[in-house]
Amino acid sequence: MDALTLDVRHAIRSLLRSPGFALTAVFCLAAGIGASTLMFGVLDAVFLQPPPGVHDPARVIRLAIVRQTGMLTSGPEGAGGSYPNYLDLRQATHAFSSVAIYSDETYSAGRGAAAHRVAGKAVSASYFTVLGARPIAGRFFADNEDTPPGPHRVVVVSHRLWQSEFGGRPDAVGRTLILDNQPYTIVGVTEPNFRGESSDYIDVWVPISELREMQSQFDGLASNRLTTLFRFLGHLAPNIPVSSALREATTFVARGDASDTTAASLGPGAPPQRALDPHPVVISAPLIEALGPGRPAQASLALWLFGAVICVMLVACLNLTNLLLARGTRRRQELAVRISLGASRGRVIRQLIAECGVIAGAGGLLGLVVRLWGTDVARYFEIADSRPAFSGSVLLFTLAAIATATIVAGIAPAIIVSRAGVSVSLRDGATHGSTATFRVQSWLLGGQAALSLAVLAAAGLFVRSLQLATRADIGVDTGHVVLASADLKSAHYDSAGAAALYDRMLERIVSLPGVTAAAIEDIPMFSGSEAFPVSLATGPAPKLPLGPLVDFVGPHYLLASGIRLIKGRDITDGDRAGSQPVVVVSEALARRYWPGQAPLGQCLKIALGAPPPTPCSEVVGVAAESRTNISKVAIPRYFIPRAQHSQWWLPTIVIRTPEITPALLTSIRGAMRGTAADLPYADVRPVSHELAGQIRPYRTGALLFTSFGVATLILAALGLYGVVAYVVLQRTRDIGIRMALGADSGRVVTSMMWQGLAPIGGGVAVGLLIAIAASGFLRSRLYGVTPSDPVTFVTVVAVIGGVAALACFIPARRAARIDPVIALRAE
Amino acid sequence: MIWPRRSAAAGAAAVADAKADALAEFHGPLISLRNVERSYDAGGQRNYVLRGITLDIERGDFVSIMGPSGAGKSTLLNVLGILDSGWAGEYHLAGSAVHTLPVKARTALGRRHIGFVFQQYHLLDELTVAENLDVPLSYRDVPKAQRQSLVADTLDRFGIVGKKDLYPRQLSGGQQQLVGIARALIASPAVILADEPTGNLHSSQGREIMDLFSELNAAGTTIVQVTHSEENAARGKRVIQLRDGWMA
Ligand SMILES: Nc1ncnc2c1ncn2[C@@H]1O[C@H](COP(=O)(O)OP(=O)(O)OP(=O)(O)O)[C@@H](O)[C@H]1O
Ligand SMILES: [Mg+2]
Repeated sequence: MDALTLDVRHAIRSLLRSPGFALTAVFCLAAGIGASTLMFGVLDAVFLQPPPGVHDPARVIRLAIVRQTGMLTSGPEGAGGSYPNYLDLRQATHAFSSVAIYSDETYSAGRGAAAHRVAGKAVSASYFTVLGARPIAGRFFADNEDTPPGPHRVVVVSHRLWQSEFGGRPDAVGRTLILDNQPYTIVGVTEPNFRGESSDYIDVWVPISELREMQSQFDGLASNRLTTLFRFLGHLAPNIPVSSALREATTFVARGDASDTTAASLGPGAPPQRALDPHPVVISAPLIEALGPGRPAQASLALWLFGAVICVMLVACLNLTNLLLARGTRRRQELAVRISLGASRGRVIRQLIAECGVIAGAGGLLGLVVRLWGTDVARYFEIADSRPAFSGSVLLFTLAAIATATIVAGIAPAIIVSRAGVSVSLRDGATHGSTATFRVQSWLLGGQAALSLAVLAAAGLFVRSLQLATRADIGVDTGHVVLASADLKSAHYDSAGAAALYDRMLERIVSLPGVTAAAIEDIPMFSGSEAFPVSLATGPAPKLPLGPLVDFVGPHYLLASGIRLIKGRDITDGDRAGSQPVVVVSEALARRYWPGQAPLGQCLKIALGAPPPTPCSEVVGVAAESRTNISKVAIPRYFIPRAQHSQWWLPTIVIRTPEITPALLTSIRGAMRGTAADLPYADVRPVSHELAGQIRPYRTGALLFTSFGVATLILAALGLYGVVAYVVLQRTRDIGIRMALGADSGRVVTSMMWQGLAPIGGGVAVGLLIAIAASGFLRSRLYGVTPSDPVTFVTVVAVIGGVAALACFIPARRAARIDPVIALRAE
Repeated sequence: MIWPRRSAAAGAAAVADAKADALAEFHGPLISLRNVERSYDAGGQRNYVLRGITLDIERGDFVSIMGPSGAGKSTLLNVLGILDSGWAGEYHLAGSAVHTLPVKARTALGRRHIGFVFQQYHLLDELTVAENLDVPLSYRDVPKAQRQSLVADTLDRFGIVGKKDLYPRQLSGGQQQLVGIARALIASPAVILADEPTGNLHSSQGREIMDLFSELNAAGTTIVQVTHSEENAARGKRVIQLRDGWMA
């Protein structure tokens, strides 16, 4: 310990004597450690931290029921089960000390203009028990408060909502919160940051019995085994391994399913059949979502970005190695003296590593400053990261990074430099030492180039993806279209009432100044898609790789959305229930189904679930290609009048306007609210907002990969600069001789630049091979660009080449200024 | 044993022929200095190392520069070799007025006419003997094939073919200096400037180097050497004495 303090004290003193070296080294490492700490914060939040407020998270698992056959097949990614399955699972008392059921919901909180959307969950009372959560005020649900049928109008609110709506007052418990137009009594408040099992913010929890579907006669979800709507959590009983818990759970679910006698019908006219797989299997997933099969896309992106910061960190370490090697060469004399005074080689190595450790420590502390941007970065990943910037795990990671940097950067130079120190008295020890040093430096430069290339290539691919995704043409007049919808779930409208309400809203919106056209569609863009079996008059329809997709639309839909009409006509007011069924098809669909024929007047039979025979829908129009999101391929689709087929989805009003202004959005909202006094929430947003949401992952990837790429590039350039400067210094005599032998300055400069550029070239070549091979894994994260995109790679190589040439040229120029007379005398 | 197997001088002359045409048209002294001065700044005051040097060296001459340590001998050689450019006065090399030329042109002129031999040999450590010989040719844009044959030729003439793949540190001092001279000669310069070429050698090795110089000079190469040894100076045709920067 004493020796260590002495080493550190000597190291600090020796570093203070060369502040330029020390500062460069510390800043390089600060960049590396800072970037990795920043991304570690994201990884930590996504992958390592259990949701806050969960007691004993290691014993809490997610449960899902997998069925291989029958009508309901479900995998681990989104699967759950039914309410009766929950009752089955609850019988597995050996396996679980408690089991919970929940489903994700959104609610409109408040009334009228003040209404806003909140994220919520419908949960069993056991939900809080499973998670081991504690209320900070009031209580959670009592055991009988979740049993269907309700109503049990009670709600647990988040600490955040308690603060924002009730100012954190204790008397909030017992007061009323309006959710979906129903008054709920607040019974409890969660701990700050409690989000249940979720990785997102949740503001309200209501009893599972409050789900409308639970009470509905039609759905009868409380007894229906055919749904996979719900999700489950289990708290493992003490000393029970997961595998045996799952076995017991499977037994109970299978027994429950077998007792089910309801037969599912595939629609009117279809023969009834048993819908349930007789062999359901209960599987588990970790509580931390990112660790399981349901890993969000942002989490995978975070992993890739962590890979990128590891590259930044490595480049920074290699820089430090390079700096230490160069400094070591200059200190050979001093080390020789130390050794001749009796210092063992081990002692010298320890001293050198201590210096490296001091630099890494200072760099790490400085790097922690970068953590202050942590919340900004967390926002890119839509992470509800509420922990302090300098949490224990972050500090621990920084310490680990410092230790790693010390070892990675310090060992090689310590060994090489100490060896050279031993042999300095030998005649050509000096030249030997510096050749070895330079050889190692060349390898390091090559490695840095390869790492920079990897990160910059990823950056390039994301930038290209962002470009293409931004320019993506979904066939809709995106700059001039607004989508408007209302949350009618709670407003107790029946289908007819809701349809009438939408008609009234449409009427008001169309008459607003600044609105060119408006139409209703039942499957709104960006909200999924639906397909039905189709056939032609002549027989079965040709098979398509994907689709055709359907949309149920109101009159003038093409006009309102800006989808180009190529032939025939749009859907009109004349297309009513009872009139001739019609359809507008996309160009690609027309080409596939009626090649070489005029599509107008053709017959498309669409099996919408009505009993056969399926009537012909007459093709009255052909529309240009359009998409329901920025997906990479346009899927053939068709539009049918919603008046002729009452499919109740999520009606949305599509509004076209010459210019989208805040005033227009407000007046649309006003027009909607004016139709119904109790309308809870009007969601009015430009299509460009939806697009921005879809583009966000590419934006995040492009921004962060580019930042880290630029960081590696700057660091690598610094390292390159240092090495070339070092080589020029080392070769002063050489350069003098060469000048005396007739070398002109241009030649001297190029040959010095080459010392740096050759290893960079090698590194770039190797890096290219690795990057092209590895980029395939990025495929699913990219948009419209192949992972081996030549434009990206050529650009990246050109950028690296340019920066490298500059980083070499600046120090190499010094070689031209060497005075041969002085250089040759310096012996 | 460093003695060339064949007559080095004859070979050198043959190589020289190739580049002699330009020189052949010029008939004045090869080197002509008028009032050349060299001084250094020494803490605000001028410290003169060379003063009023006026000197002509004809083609085929063999000049020995002598004088005590610090007299300015090396400085004068550096001026002659166009390694130094901080002097004042007039210097004509093979008819070109060096003092009027910009730096780049001076370098080109030096490259054309001058070969250096150093007391410390100054071979490039990380290059083999053959590669060391190749260096001056590479700076003169000699095509590769011609370079290879010139190097082979020179190795042969100096009897060091067997050493061509060795590194300088694997040679004795005399052998290194032999390579140094071969390197100075390979591009057929009009004049060889040698700063104490035998200063680091045993007397017998030194004698052999001086024999080589005599032979080269006999074959037409102009030689300017700096030496402390009366014996070596006697090999030359005339001696220039320097004292405190003045020619005695
Ligand atoms: N760059 C310089 N700056 C200042 N003074 C210099 C410089 N180069 C040479 N001198 C001085 O010029 C003088 C002549 O040096 P020079 O090397 O020419 O002597 P020399 O005659 O070759 O001596 P020696 O026989 O020891 O080699 C010396 O006093 C030296 O200190
Ligand atoms: Mg001298």
